[in-house]
Amino acid sequence: MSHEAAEAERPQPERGRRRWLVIALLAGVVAFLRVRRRWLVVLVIALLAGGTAYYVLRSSSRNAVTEEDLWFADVTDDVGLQFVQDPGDLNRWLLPQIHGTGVAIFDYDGDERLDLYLLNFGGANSKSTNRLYKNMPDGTFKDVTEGSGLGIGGENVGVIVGDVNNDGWPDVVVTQYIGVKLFLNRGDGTFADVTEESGLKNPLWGASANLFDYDRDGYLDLVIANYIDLDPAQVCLHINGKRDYCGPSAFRGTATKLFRNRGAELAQNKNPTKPRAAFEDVTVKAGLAAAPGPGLGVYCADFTGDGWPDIFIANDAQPNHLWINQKNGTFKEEAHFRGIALDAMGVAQAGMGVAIGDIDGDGLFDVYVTHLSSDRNTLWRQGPKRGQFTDRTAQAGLMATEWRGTGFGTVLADFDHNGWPDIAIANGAVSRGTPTPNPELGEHFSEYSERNQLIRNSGDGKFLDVSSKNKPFCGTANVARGLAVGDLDGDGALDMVLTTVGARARVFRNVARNRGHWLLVRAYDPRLKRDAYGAEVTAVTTTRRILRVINPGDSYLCSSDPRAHFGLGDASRFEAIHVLWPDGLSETFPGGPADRAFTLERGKGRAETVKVP
Amino acid sequence: MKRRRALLIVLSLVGALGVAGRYAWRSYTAPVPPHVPLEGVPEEKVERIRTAQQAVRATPRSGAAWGELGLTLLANGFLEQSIPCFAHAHKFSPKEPRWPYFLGSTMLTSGRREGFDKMRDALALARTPKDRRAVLLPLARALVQDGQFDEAAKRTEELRAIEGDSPTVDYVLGLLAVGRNDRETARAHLGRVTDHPCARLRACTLLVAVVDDEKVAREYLRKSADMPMDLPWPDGFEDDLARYRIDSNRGLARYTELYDKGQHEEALVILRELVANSPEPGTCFMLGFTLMSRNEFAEAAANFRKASQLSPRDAKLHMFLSMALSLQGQNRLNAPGGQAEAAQLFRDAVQAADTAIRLRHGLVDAHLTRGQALKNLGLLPEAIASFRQAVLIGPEFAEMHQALGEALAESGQLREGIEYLENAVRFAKPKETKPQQALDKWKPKAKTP
Repeated sequence: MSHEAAEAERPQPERGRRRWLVIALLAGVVAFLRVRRRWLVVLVIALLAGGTAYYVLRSSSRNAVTEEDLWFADVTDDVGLQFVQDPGDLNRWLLPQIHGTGVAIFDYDGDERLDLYLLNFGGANSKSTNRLYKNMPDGTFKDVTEGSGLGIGGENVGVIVGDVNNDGWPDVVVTQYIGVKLFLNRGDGTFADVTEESGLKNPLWGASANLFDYDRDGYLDLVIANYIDLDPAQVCLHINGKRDYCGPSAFRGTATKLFRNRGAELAQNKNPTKPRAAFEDVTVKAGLAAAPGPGLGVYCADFTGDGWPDIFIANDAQPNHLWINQKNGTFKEEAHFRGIALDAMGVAQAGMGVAIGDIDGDGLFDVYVTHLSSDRNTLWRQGPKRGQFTDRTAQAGLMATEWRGTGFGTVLADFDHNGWPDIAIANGAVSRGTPTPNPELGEHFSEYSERNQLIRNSGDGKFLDVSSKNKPFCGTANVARGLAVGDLDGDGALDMVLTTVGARARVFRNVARNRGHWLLVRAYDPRLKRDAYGAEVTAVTTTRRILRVINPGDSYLCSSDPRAHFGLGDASRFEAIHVLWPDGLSETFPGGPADRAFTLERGKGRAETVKVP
Repeated sequence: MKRRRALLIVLSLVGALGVAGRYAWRSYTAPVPPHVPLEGVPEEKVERIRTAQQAVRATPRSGAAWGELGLTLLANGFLEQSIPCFAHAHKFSPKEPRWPYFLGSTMLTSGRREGFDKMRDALALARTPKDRRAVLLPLARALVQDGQFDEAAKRTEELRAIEGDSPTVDYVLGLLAVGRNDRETARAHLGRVTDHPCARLRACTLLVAVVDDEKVAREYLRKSADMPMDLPWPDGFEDDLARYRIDSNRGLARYTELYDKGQHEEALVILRELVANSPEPGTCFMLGFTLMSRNEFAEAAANFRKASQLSPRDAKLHMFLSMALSLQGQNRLNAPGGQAEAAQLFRDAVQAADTAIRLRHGLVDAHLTRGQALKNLGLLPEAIASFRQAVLIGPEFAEMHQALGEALAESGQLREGIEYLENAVRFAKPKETKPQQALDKWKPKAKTP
């Protein structure tokens, strides 16, 4: 059913009341013409007219979009982004086609403006390639793919950005439907494909990926959430008998792959013919092969507070996995014990995108995972003990959203700078529904389209759905997948880039009025010449402590701006910033005025002793 | 007399006009069935849906007709279109609890919170204990999930009033306690249903997170790993729905039914008939698979070949063909004078596996089968390369590690071979002894100088 039709089906008490008032007015006019005591009729008409006007005004004011409610404007045309995703030949009905592709927001050329890298899934018979767009000084995006080395074709899926060779330039990893690619940033605006020489091999359907330093040797290791062993020949039908994309349950889930970065060994190697990057597949050695699953989302952070990064995998229709780092190169799967494998009803939902953020300001990050529309997106709150999670979706008011969708990309980010992270969700179905009248989608995808969602964190532990008041992002049904955030226009507020299947990628500029104060912090380790992925950054104001984790790889198939963004509300200055660096060093940096972006360098703060539990 | 006649005529005319007007008004205002996009829907389903639609058009104010249409649509994948049907059914049969129940549950499935009110309406209409139970259980569960814990508790008490301290009540109270983060109560209630076929898996997995003793938690997790899916709770209304579902593959359904009953020979006869009468890839595959499990490899291979010819892009069919040929080859290898024939069968097996891999690189068994056939042909390095691919794709399978380990050991690369055999032992299922046997065979040789 279209959303408009769905609206029409729902009870409309306002509309009913108005209809009766109109009928009464007409009756009044007739009476006026027929009866003698016309003053009485005039009085009745006046009363009815007043009542009608009251209801109409009250109703329209209730539905009006206030300045505070509108957070985003669609500026895709204004910034000149013309990217239309190629899902390949639609007659194939290949599941990865409907699973979409990702986007990376990163500064590839060091000009301090965030650029975009968008993926295509055209396949061997398509000429479409991934595209790199440079953020120009006038705010538009220029296609600079040619000659960049990133314009590859094929069946690309997800992307993660990070400096894997510690040369100060962000590199790019692309997951593929059966494959993986590694591109090293040469620092001159071009990239070198070093997949072969690096030893990276992933002959599986790679979905989201993440970079983290699991062995704390200073080099970013790669983890890829692999999905399922899909049989492309399998013909699947919707329950109504029409051809449809297959669901995952008929296929075996595959192992999440862990690749250890051998950068430290390479640094010691003086051989001039040594590879430019080297990775070792340690999946079996690390223990990750012990529990394969249909992984779609992945996030790496220190879930247990022991100073060593762990791996969270959102599995589709299977219990999630939380691989706890054993500090010896191996991991143990403990999602069930830590309460994050299943929802509160004991159901393994269709995990897709992963968002991380401290939603209640208790200093522990929480986990939000998107699911199918027939499931419910789930919020697992961490605590009171670190590393223990409880499904608190209902208590947070997240069951009472205005509509539901099949969620993929999702972020927890403070869009209105009130100090509390809000939720954005990219929606789009994976099996047929009722067509929605969005001409841009075409016949094939119209049955898979849904509206996105925006949910405001009120700061009292509750969320409020503001989707219907944010038409630019949520008003039009789409088959949305990737969602990444970053301050694209340098105004200190987080903007969003959304990818859709078979349609345009969209740029949403943060236009929220009356935003609070903000900070944008880069946590940089000069010894490694790169962002300190895994660092926990806490901004301290007179009233609050706000935690952010440095890792760009949340959401789904995407890589966001790795800087920590803080909304500070009314606080025009911050008192201090604490950084717990990935190697365990804890430092405090002095406070200052808000509303600025700056870099914190490891070693330049006041070191503190940290009590490791 | 004339005046009276005229009056009578006028009255009759007025009466007739009134009746006609009422009929016209009712026809004009009669609800019509919702549009159902039937393009591409199998004929059988279309026919059933159209019949239900016609019944509604014939009696547009019949709650039963609307309800039947709603159920037909819901059972056959048209959830959104079923909603207005149940709404009309409820309107025209306001005393029937089934229609607000289906209206409510369908609304809740599609994320509409008005569904709770409809479920409450259904409960108010449900008079018999059976009907009240049919509404109370799903309503209580939905309320728990929605965080409406107080009402969920109230509904569970009502359920308890009907059936006493039953597993159903324990189950819902367990879920409620988990929702309220009341670990002790959750342990008590869920602990009572860990063996109930409708709740055991969910109870055990939930208990993992709410027990304080890690050892007990691990035991629940181990137990749940071996459990089948929970059966649905018996539900008068939902069970009804199954009757409206149209299954288009009746032939195979008959085979499965017989097979499940243990009538394997009769099932095989049905399957052979199906293949002979309408050789479809699915039935040919099923026959090949059944024959392979009976060690009838030649006929199995013939059926897999037929299936792969009918559906040449299905990698799985080529892989099974490769497997059947390889097994047939091993049989011939052991027969006197069968070596040349066996070699040909292995070569054919490699070819079939290559086709499978070309179509679907991630098909781990195709790499394994290919490696085994190559090994039988004496091409050990090529076999090792195949096994390495298999391990890369399916590192969680003991079989792949074992095949690679043994091949490496046989080629003299003992140290690496032992490593893979140790992996095989690590990944082997509890009753899988072959990896350990292989390790026991090769490990002493690694120690020999």
